[in-house]
This record gives sequence, structure tokens and C-alpha cells, in this order.
Amino acid sequence: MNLCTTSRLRCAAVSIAAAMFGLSTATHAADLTVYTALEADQIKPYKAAFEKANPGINILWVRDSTGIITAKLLAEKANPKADVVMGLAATSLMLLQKEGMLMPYASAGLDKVDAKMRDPAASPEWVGMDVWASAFCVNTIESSKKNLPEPASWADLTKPVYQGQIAMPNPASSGTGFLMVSAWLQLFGWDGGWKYMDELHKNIAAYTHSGSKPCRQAAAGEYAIGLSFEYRANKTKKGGAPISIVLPKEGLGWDMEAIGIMKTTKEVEAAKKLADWAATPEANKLYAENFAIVALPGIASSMEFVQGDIDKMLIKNDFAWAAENRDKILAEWSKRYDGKSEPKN
Amino acid sequence: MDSMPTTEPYLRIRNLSKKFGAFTALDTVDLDIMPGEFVSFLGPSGCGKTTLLRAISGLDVQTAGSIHQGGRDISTLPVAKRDFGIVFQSYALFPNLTIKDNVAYGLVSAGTPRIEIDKRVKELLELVGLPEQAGKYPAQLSGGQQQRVALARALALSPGLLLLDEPLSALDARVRARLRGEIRDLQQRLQLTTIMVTHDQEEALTMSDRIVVMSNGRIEQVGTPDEIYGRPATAFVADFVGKMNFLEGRLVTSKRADVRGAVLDFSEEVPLAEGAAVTVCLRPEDVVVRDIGEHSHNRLSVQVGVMEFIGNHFATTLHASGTGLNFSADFSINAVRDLGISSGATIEVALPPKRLRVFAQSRSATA
Amino acid sequence: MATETLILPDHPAAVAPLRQKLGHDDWIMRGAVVALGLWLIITVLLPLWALLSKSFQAADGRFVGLANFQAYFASPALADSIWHSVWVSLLSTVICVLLAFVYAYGLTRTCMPGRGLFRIIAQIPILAPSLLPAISLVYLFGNQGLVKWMLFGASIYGPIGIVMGEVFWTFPHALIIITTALAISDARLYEAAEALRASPRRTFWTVTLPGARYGLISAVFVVFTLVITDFGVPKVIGGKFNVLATDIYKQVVGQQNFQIGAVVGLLLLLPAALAFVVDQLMQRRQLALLSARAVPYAPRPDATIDRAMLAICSLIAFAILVILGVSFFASIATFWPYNLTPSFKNFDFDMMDGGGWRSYFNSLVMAGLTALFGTAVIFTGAYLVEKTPRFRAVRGFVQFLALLPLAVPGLVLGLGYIFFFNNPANPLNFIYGTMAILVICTISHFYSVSHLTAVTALKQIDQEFETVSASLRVPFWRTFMRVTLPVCLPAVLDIAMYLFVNAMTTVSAVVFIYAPHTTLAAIAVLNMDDAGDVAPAAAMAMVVFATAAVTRAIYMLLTQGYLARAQMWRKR
Repeated sequence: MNLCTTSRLRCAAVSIAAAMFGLSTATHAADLTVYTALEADQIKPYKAAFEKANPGINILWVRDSTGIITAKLLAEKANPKADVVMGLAATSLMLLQKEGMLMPYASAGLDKVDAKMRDPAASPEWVGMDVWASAFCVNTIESSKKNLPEPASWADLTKPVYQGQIAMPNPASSGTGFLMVSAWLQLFGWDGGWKYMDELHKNIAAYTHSGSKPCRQAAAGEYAIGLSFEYRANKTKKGGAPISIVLPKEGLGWDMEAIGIMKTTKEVEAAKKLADWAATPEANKLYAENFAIVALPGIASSMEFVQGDIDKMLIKNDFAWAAENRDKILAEWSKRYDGKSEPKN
Repeated sequence: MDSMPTTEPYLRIRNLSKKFGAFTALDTVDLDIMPGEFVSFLGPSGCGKTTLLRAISGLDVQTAGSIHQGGRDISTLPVAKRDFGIVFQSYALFPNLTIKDNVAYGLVSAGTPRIEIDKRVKELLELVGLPEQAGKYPAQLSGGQQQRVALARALALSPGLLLLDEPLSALDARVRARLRGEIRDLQQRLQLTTIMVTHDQEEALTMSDRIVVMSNGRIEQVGTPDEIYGRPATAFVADFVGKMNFLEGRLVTSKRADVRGAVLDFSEEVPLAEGAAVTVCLRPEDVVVRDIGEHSHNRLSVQVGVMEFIGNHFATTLHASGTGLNFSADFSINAVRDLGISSGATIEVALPPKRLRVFAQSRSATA
Repeated sequence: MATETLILPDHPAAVAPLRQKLGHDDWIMRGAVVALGLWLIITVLLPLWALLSKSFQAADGRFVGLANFQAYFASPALADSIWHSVWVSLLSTVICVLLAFVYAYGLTRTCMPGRGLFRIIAQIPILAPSLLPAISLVYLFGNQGLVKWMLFGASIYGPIGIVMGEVFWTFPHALIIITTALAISDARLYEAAEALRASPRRTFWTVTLPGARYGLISAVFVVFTLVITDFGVPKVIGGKFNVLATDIYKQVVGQQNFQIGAVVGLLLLLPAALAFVVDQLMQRRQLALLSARAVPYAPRPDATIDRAMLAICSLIAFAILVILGVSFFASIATFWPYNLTPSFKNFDFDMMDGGGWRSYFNSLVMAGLTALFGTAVIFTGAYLVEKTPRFRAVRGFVQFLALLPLAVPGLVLGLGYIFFFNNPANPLNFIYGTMAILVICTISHFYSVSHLTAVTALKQIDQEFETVSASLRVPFWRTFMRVTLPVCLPAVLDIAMYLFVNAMTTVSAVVFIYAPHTTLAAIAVLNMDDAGDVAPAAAMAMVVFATAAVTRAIYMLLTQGYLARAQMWRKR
């Protein structure tokens, strides 16, 4: 809201009446309601850059965890509120695609996007933005206090020494959590994956709502190890947290953040502009500030505190399978681990 | 009848009934009130006097019956369409407004010009004797002063009818006595038709032109204070107004009864069969002790029991010798002193037949 | 009497009772009462009805009978939540009411020093969202907790944390009720007990406790309802310990499973409704205890008791201050627990979840509008319900509607709002996602207590003002504006204050209906905590607390300074 930059208080006062009736105080011609699971600290620069390039269009973010945004979109299917979905896991967008909720649209410059990172269909309905991958945040101070060895692999996490030391995101609400579970099932097989998680569950102290929280909790020493993702790990370490960032050697679970237009949008032109913008080098440069791998080849960046070649460590990820089986996986997960009483230890 | 006064009644109440569910609060009440009259509704709590006032004011409309005020049928009119001023026991003064604003309250709303309002408020405050208090708030005045302000406010719009709902009950005895006179005086000066609800018989007797005594939703008697006190129409009225001896006996003839062995004559004929059970009513102050010789009827030789000094008289209990009759009598201090009446003495008294009231014995309320 | 023979048209024996003609005032007042009734039907009754019907429907709106209930109870994890909720609420209630009773006893029945200060400290929890104590408890007893050792190895995440947080948060509510109950006791009973040479212990059991029993029972039910329907504390500190309130949130917000959400909502309605009924009965009896001749009890100094009570109350007050203080220090520490240098880094809300500083200003606007419109609607409404002549059935119904929100937990109301207002077929659908719906929902949520405050004030003023005005042919609204409102000004300000503070701190009802541009501060606390930004969450909670505290302080200055002068007439 441009009007509100000078004095928030005055803005608040002036906009009372308008706000009461849901009128925007901005002078923009189009308001785009964009559902996103991007991090709160990422969306500001994206919005600013896009609105600068496309005057007259105003982005209204609805931000929440991947699982929640996905569930919200599905629940609102009959009466969708979103115009565009941006920065949501590709597995979730594929789910929407399957439900017929997306509008086919090829962003300008789509051909330049890495083939792995776009909808392979003839009339594509989504395009990738960046890759985000799992990472451990390990609190070094707490580890040395408790004499914990630094885990190097997924397998290490099931060792009894880590009992009650690990936090991980709940896959039902968090995309970061889901991509881990999906990775384990693909790495170790269906049965092997669940067996692994049974073991891991014994060491888990808390399942969190969001994918960032485990890393932040590890940073604050609340738990020694937080299973999170590389962007949050990097950012948290940069903020001064005493953590080391570990990329498990079996391979990283990962997902793409992607953008798609809702079929039901009334702001078709504005939505297309956002989809176009999302595939531009400018946008990709912004993504690259946060992620190692982005949709346009050649705009790679390395993360300051993340050691290792993320690109090579990504597992071979079958998105179609993950999207297909998302409900089944989550139901099984909830049955096994959700809502169990506090362990008696 | 021919002797009927030519003036039309100002307030004409016909067949008024009020039911609250199964309870009958007013039972077919008929009443006329003349212009300029001061009428009190007197009775114990729950007798219907307040219900009757609320029907007249429109606060609680009656279940059936009609009310005409000044020839206009107001039976079902809302409060604001009626024409009265009202004063409550609680004064109901607006605490956040000055005395002046309280009195001017109705005038302002009526759109009276400011100068006239000021003039009228001044006039009214002078009328109630509070010309200096205009700028004060109600809480700064005494109870009696507040009630006079309430009166001034009620009179501001010159209503045709003034309703007083237990106006003096919240005040202490001395203020009450003074205000009685002031209100009555004001009412007579203004020739304002006034109805007062009260449970205080003294108040009713001293202020009213006529008193309406009520009980159980019915009118027991309507009459001047003198009539009510001196010639109660029913045993209830006799009991409720003033002190009274209720002496139980049997009718010997239509003008004579045997009361526990004492034979008493009375001047009014009682239309009952001989031997009927009756109650003979006698006010203690009607017992004659001086100049006994002038009385030929109902002379009794009595023994004086307890003597209680009340202040301006003695209240005594008497026992009629040779009979089972006990009754109380009030003797003036003079009489006690002059005749040397004392506890245990035997004296002669007379019960004037004119002063005795006799009712068939089915007394509903004696308390 | 001569007059009886007057020939007058006798009214025929009327079959139907007479009806009074309606004056202007009657029409306006009745119209307004009906309008208020409609307003309450739309903002309270219909959302509840929408919730109820939703619980019997499948996702596509088909009627499925009790299938949703079966599905809910079939899941052992979810059914566990009921048991969890019940025992945690019971335990919190017992502890809270006991502590509040001791504290209230100290305030009203002893001469211990510093009672005024103790009173103020005890009100602190009301000024903060329920998330604040939970966050503080994490800092105190979490794995990095300052005094973690005090738990002897037990985890704060779970029932222990929930009970501690809830006791803190509900303490002032219990205290207000019990203090009132103890304060109205009749000194004459104590004089009698003393004259009969009853020992202090016997006096306590035979006079003090029975006198306060309705207050205690009332406090028990109020606290139980608050705890079982609160969701802030278990959300932050519940860990894997599920309760009904977090279930409803997970089902609705996490999985968008509205049908099961509606089922849980109905379950939550039960204890609250029961508590409501019991409380109403208790209040009636409590009033009966108050005879007009009661002499207020004035405690006499007793060194032993006063010192003991001072120690206990100090301990409780200290605990309250510590919990507040921890959040404060955590919010200004650069990086808890490793870098405790003070900084304002955690107040940079714009870089966090929850909507940033905008949420705070939204909250200010929302609380301001709620106080403004809420006070206007509720006070005027209470006036109409109290003073409209006759019209009993409608007034009774509106009165019922006004008290209904007391029995409706915030979460349930908020859920009902989604179902009712987000329905595209609803002509009022347009307010969904606006500031207006937040204001309306918050007004409804806190309607009953405000309404009762207004009714109490209105009952205390002279009942004949309206009659006098009508007899002076002054329209009722003029008397309302010139007399009733000014006379009730303290109560009116009380209501505005109450609405403002609650609107600032509430999470439960609005968490379901805020929109991207109407995020609120208390919800930002929740979202930041969810994202792991605990220190900024604490910072935002502190900002909310500070706002409520400052508002309250201003209010106190106003009532003592300006009001005292403006209301000169109150003095003799």
C-alpha cells in the first residue's frame, strides 16, 4: 500500500472507513490475491520488484505453510479466492492441476526454463521458480554440552543418542516436512521408509507446524537438531545462531516452488503478467538470493553457509508419484505419529 | 339524581379492571373525580391503589374499563398523549442536571423560548419556595427540597392533573408534616385536580378533599376525611383508618346489641335479623368520661386497667364491671387529672350511640 | 353515591384485554428492539446454526446425519483430546480458584500492606494474549529454560505447561469474581461469630466459606470454560498433547476439514453452555445473599495472618511479574539464549510471519472500532431491553440473545462465522474478509459481559426517569442522551475499556476469519510462534500488553481526573 509508507498511524486512521468495507486504500487498478507458502522474509522483495515492473497491479499475499495453503485451495474449490498460486510446492500444484483448478498458460520465456523445472505437458499449467531442499540445523553449543556427535546422514538420526533431541516439521502442514517423508519413501522404499520413520519417531521431541521452526528451535538450543531446509538454515546461521548446517549424505529431499494461475481468476491479464514475471531473469536473480538452484540455468548462486553441492545431492524425485500419493502418505503418517500422547519418558 | 352537582367530573373511571394472570389487581372500579379536587387513594400495599394510578397515567393499561379525563377518552392512550404531571416517592430528579434544568426539562422539549423558560422556572421555584437553588444539583439539596423541585417540574407544563405517588414516604416525620401543608396549599391555590396514592392514613386525612379507601382491588369507601373517619362504611375501613375497638356481640333488636353481657344501643338501624352476630365498632377517643350525666344510653361502670402515657393523651384499657367486655379508650390529660383516673380505679363512662358503628360479623381483615 | 346513577355508556364486557395505543416512543423503541434482535440473530444465532447444520453435512453439503460424529469418535487420537481437555481444565480450575481464593482473601479480609499494588499486579494477565504466558513458560522451563531444573526432568511441553499457562491467564478472572463475593460478606455475621466465641478456624469454615460459596462455584465454572475453550496456551506449549481447542484449529486451519471442526465446536459448546446455566443460577442466589442492611466487613490487623498472607500473595504476584518479565527480556535480547545484548531486532516484525507492524495497526483499528461501535450498540441495546414498556416476549428473547455469547467459546463463534458469512449464497457475504467482520465478531464474542455491565448500571438509576419524561412529553431518546447516558458514563467507559482490551488480545474467534490485509497483532504472535520466531512473538505480545496497559492507565487517569470534574453532580 503506497499510501501507507509515510505514516502508518495516519494511514490507519484514514483507512478506517475503507477498511471497514474491504475497499483497498491503494489506487491500483488490479488486486491480485496470491496464495503462497514462501517465507515471510522472501515475499517483500518479490512483491516490490513485480509491482515496480508492473505498475497498477497490487499483490495481496495469503501466506501460510504448504499444507495449509494446499488444503485451503482445495477447500475453496467451489468458490476460490485466489487468483494466482505462487511459491507453492510443485507437488501441491500438480494436485491442483489434477483437480482441474489451474489455467493453462505458458509464461513468456518459458523455453529458457530448465526442462526439469516446468510442467512437461503440451499446454503447461505451472512453471518452477526454485528448488528447496532439506537440511539439518545442528546446535553446536548444545551438541558439545550433551556430547552429541554431529549427524551426517538420515540414518544417523535414528541412533539412540539423539533421543528427544530432534524436531521436525509435521508433513501434513509443512511442505518441508512432506518433502522429507517423500524422500525417505523414495530412498528406502515404501516399507523401508515407514520403518525408518518408526525408528526416527522415537527420537523426535516435537513435530512443528512450519518447516522453519525446527531450525529456529535448534538455533535457540530448544532442541539440538532441527530438520529443516537449506534457505532457513543459511539465513538462521547468518543471523548469528550457533549452528552447523548438515546435508545428509544419502541425498536431499527436495521440491520445487512453482507458480500457476487459477482457472477461476477474474484478473486474467494481471495474473499472466505475474506468471511472466516469475520466469524472468530479474525474478530468478531474486530467487537466487535465497536458493542455490533456480529455474533459469546460469543464475545459480552459492549459499554463504551451506557447504556442498546441493545440485548433485538432490535425490531423483518423482513428483508425479509424490503428488499422486500425497493423501495416502499423509493419512498413513497421521495414523502412525500424529496425536499420540506425550511419550512417557 | 336531582341533587347532583351540575359540574361534570374531570376524571371519570368506569368498570376498570386489571388482571395480572390469574390475579385480579383491580376489580370493576368506578370513580369520579371533580375538577380541582384533591383525592387520595388509601389502602394497604397490594390493595390496587398503585395499579389504579398506573392505569390513570397510562403506565399500565387496564384489562378492561374506561377512563375519561376532561371529557376525553384516554383509556388506551400512551403516557405521552395524556395530560398529567407526576411526582414519585423517589423524586426521580435527573441527578446530572441542575435544579433549573430539571424544572425546565419539559419546557425545553416543548420548544418554549428561552426567556419564557427562565421566567417560568423562576416562577415555579418561587411557587415551591426554592427561588435560590436554581444552580444547584439535586444531590446538594435535602430530601424535602428535592421533592419540592420534583413538584415544580411536574407543574411546569401546567398539566390538568397532578399525580402524587407516595410523595412523602421517603421523608422524615417533621419534613413530611410540613410538606403536607405546603402541597395542599399549592394545590388549592392552583385549583389543580390532584390524585395522591398513600398508605399513610394521616396523610390522606389531612390533605384530601375526598379519600378512596381500597382493599383487594375494590373500592371500600369514597368519602370526605370526616366521613371516612367518623362513618366508616365497612369494617375494613373502620379498621384501616384510625384506632378502633371491635366488639363482638349479637343483635338484640335492630338498634341494640348484647356485647359480652353489656347491652349497647346505637342510633343507626341495622338491617339484620335478631340474634345475628355483629361487630360493634368504637373509637377509643369516643369513650366519654366527662359530663356523664348528659348521656342516657350505654353507661357503663368500668375498671381501669393499664394506663399508657402517649404524650397528648392516655391510652387505657377498660373492663366493664359484671360483663366480659374489654375495650380501650383514650382520655385527655385534662380528664385524667380532673377526674383522678388511675389504674385500678372504677369509673363511669358512656359510649354515645351515635358514635357506634355496627357491621355484620364477617370481618375480612382485622390486622 | 349519587354519581353512580350517571348514565354513561358502559363498556361492553370486553373479551380481549384492552391494548394501549402505541405512541411515537413506543414505535421507535419497539422498532429498535426488533432491529437489535435481528442484529443478534444475524451475528450470533445464525452463525451458530450454520455450525450446527455443518456438523451434520458432508463436505459437499449433503446431509449425513451423525457420520461426522462417528468419524470423529472413531479416531482414537481425536477422542483422546476430549479426555485431555477435561482433566487439564479441571486441574487448572482447581489450582487457579484455590490461588485466587487465597489472594482474594488477602485483599479483602486482611490488613496486609500493599493491597492496592497487589490488585494491580493481579490484573496483568488480562492485558496480554493467552499466548504470552505460554511463550514465557517456554523461556522459563523449556529445554533452554532459565529454571528448567525446577521441573525435575519433566517436560514443560504438554499438560504441565498448559496448566501453568492457563492458571496464569485465568487468574484475574477468578480473582474478580471471588473478591466480589468476599467483599460483600456481612460484617454482622462475623460479629455474631465472635460473640459466640467461635474460633477463627470455625468462623472461616462456617461463615467465610459459605458466604463466598456462590462466588467460588461461579469462579470454578468461569475458569473451567475459559480453559477448555482456550487455544492460545495449548497451541504454543501443548507439544504433542492434543486438546479439543487445538484439534478444532488443526482440523479447520490445518486440514480445512470444516465438518470435523464443526463437530469439535459442538463438543466445546457443551461445557460452556453448562457452565453458563450454572452460573446464571448462582448469580441469582448470590444476589439474594445481599441484603440491603448488610454491613461491609472491615478487617482488623492481625500480625500473624497479615504476614502470612503477605508472603503468599507476594509469591503469587512475583510469579505473575516473572512471567511477564521473561517475555519482556526475551523480546529485547538479540539472540536468546546465546546473545543477551539488548536490541530491538525482534521488533522488526515486517520481516516475519504474521503480517508485520501492519497487524499491530490493524489491531488498534479493530480494537478502536470494536470499543466505539460495540459500546454504542451494547449500551443502547441494554437500554432498550430494559426500558421499552411492555413488549415482554420480544424483550425477553432479545435479552436471551444478548446473554447467549457467554455460552459460546470464541473458537466456536469464529467457526460459525466462516460457515455463515463465507457462504456465497449469503447476501452478507461481502463483509467476509473485511475489517467489518472482525469488528462484528469481536463485539458478539464479548457482548454478554458488556451487556450485563450496562444492565446493572441501568438498574441502579431511578426507574421513573422514563415515566417522568413521558409525562413531560419529552421523547425517550432525549432523556437517554441527556440523562441516562451521562449518569451511566462510568459504566459506558468500563464497557469501552473492556471491549478494547479484549479486542487487542483475542485470538480465538478472529483466528478463523482474518484476511491477508486484516491480520491482527495477537494472531501475529501465534503465527510467528508457529514459524519458530518465538522471540519476535514474545515481542509482539509485549507490544499488545503495553498497548492494553497504557490504554488502561489512560482510562484510570480519565476516570479519576476528568470524569471526577465532569461528574461534579455526584458529590454532595
